[in-house]
Amino acid sequence: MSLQEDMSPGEWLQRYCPSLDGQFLFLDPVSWQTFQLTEGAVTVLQEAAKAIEQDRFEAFLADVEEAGDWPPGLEFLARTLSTLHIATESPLTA
Amino acid sequence: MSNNPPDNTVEQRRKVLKGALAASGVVTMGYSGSALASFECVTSTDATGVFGFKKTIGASANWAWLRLLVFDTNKSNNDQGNWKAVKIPTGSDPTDADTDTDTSTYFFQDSAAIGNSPPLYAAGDTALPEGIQAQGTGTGVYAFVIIYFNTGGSILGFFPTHVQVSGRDYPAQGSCLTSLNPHLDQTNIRYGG
Repeated sequence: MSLQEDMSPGEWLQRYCPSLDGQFLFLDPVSWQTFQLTEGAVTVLQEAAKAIEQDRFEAFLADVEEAGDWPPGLEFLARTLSTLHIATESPLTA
Repeated sequence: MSNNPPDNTVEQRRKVLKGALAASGVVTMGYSGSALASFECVTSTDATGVFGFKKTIGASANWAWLRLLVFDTNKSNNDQGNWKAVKIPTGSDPTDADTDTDTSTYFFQDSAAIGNSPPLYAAGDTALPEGIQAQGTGTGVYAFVIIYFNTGGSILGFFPTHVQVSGRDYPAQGSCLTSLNPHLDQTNIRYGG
């Protein structure tokens, strides 16, 4: 499948994290598993997406650790979002 | 030039992050081909290429349509233009179809020359014969209007009583609805293209 092509983490969230009656359904771009998220979890992923797009994901991870660490399952999803950025940013750096 | 945002923005962001982390919850739904299909066919489709009204629907696609009983009118004779009527729900309840409650009556010309997707006219339209009215209890023949859904798979309304808003209301395929809204009331709903 090629849905990830040319899609930033923010764009991915916009398209593949729709609201369903107060909860959110998230499609993992790596495993294609689906996850039901609370609004708070979506906010965290949106912040992660911004950090990835602004090349400050490591600083974001440190902020999360300082703020009380990850709830179960959420760090994995944030890291899968970072693969979208790598896919669009890494080629042709020679 | 530094990419670092100002300190007050950083502090604000950390505050938001702390609150969001505390309110975070993740439930694994698992790998689901049908869920993926749902994303694709509800959140990313529009009505392009989908006619709002059809006399018959083919088996080449599985769009969700509302089935409507076709009524004769007092202008149903061939020399009067062979006008027929359907009663379309004005709300989002598919069970209202064909009744006189919470529906609007629309008229169309049933003719091979006009084809499978004739224009629908609301009562009072100047294109209609004067004094046209639906008659009888139905011809036993059915026609179909497209159903608009939200991304959760719930019905928002029907063509043309519901005005589709781009980016919000979508036609949907059966494969979407079975995963997103398995409890959808299927009364009068048929699938086809």
